[in-house]
Amino acid sequence: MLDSITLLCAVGEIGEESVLDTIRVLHLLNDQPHQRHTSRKIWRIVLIAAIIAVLLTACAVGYSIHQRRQQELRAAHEVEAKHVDAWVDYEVPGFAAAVPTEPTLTLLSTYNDGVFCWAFVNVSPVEDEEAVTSVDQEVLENGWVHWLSYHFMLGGDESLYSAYPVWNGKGEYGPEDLISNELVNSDGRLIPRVTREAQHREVKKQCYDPASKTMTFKCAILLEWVDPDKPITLELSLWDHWQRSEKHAVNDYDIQTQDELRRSFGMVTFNIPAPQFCTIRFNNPPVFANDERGKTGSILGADISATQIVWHLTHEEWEDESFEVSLSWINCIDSVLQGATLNFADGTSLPCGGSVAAPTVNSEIEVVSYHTMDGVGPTVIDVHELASVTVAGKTYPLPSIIDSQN
Amino acid sequence: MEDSAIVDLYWQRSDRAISETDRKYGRYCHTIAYNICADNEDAEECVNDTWFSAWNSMPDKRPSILSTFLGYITRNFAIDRFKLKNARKRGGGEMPLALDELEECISSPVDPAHEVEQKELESAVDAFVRGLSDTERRMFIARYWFLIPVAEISERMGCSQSKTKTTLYRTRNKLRTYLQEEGLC
Repeated sequence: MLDSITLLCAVGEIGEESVLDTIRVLHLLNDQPHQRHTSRKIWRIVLIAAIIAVLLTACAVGYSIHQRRQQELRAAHEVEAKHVDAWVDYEVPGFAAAVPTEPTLTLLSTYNDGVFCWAFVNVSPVEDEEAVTSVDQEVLENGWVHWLSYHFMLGGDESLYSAYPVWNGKGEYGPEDLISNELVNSDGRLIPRVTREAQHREVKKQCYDPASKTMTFKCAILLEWVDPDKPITLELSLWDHWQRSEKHAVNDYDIQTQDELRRSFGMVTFNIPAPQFCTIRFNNPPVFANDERGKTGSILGADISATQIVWHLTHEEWEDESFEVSLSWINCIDSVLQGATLNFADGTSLPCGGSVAAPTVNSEIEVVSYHTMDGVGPTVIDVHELASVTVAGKTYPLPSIIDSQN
Repeated sequence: MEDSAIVDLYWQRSDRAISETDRKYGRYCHTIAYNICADNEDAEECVNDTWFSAWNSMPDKRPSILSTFLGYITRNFAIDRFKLKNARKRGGGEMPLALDELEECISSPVDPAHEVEQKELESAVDAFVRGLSDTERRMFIARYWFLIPVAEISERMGCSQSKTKTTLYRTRNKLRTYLQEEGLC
């Protein structure tokens, strides 16, 4: 008898090299999702080019690192091009040639994508060795294992978010991407990353500027975990951790640990910006045919936020979950949504097709598509600037309630 | 500490072997167990069982790569614990979801005519996985070896959840066809 548990057990016997490859590529030992990069090479090139251009411009007119970062972030997220009014830039210090001597936390920008509130902050001064991220989290110094961690605290909560930029032991800098993190309860227990509780305080290292000794972090706050009407407080501090084991006799070790606050960068407080959201519901849903099945389906509507669109569809055979029927409808819906676009008032448009994620058990099928710039990177749009949506060969004007017969 | 040094500690029967293993692989094994059991205490016990099992198996064994060696043990302990503790499709976590998904790969879950030898099935699954593209293989192993939630796989692989779900769905369909062709279901 073959059942799913037997099959799951058989999967456990997959060759070691395949499992090891997955551990390595997905950074499973780091307990930290790796930053999007595998399919984003083109996006990175575009982003780097944009940042270089902005940097050159900024340097030419003498902007401060905070103003430069704000411009880079706006360029990277196409805030200007899309006129995103959910994006908020905060007042920051202007041109300052000297490296700051006092620990400083500067709030740069925030935006609300409907699911997360994102906050960008600058931290300074951060020495080169403090800014390094690496897969190796520790370094041996005079018999002590030493590592650093940045601790974030949100809203006065006692839970901590820890991030570890460290030396890699070879004097080399690691990749500037996601830094490892863990969430610790007030009683010292680790909260597994698989829980939603652990996911709502994502903090990503954006970039480091050695000249001004400033590091930029991107913080994500899951909206459902906070009161959107109350200000958010973000605190940040840098800690040294030391540990060593001393052997007294056979099998007798004394483990010594020591944690020291290196410096606190202070706190910033901000209000969560209002989200952008648009709902489309067709009064007479556009109908499409599945020639292979000789049946029809319809597009019920879509929910559009600043970062994604969720299409809602249904079809005559939604109750049939058999392999052949499901696959046929997946291919059909993929085809129907191919070429769908969001059209802005200024004449530009954005692809928004997406693919069916899985067969549904309800009558509605949801297809999620994240907004991207030519399909190569994430972008944020101003929902208020949308003029129409094109799907299945027809263009429907917004606002939200649309009669497809028009 | 390098894996070989940790293994040396086991072979020397040093208590420090456990603390160093826990230090390097504790969180990794806990996550594997938690993804299956969806319970912190169960996960913790699976990890402790893993250290005990590793202690008993070294020597004689000398694993060159501890991550897969320990992950394999933890996964089996967690699956056993899940079987004991949970009725099928009850409880939280990724296990019931993963089992539901794998059900799609099986044409008839209770057909005595298709009695399958476990070893034959393991070889077939391994061969199938080797034939997948890199992305398909990594997503498949992440989901059904480590039972990592789809959202986290997407984040770790730098793609949308939609793409991950679609890839997994189509891989399961391929597996089903493959197992049918091999006469295994």
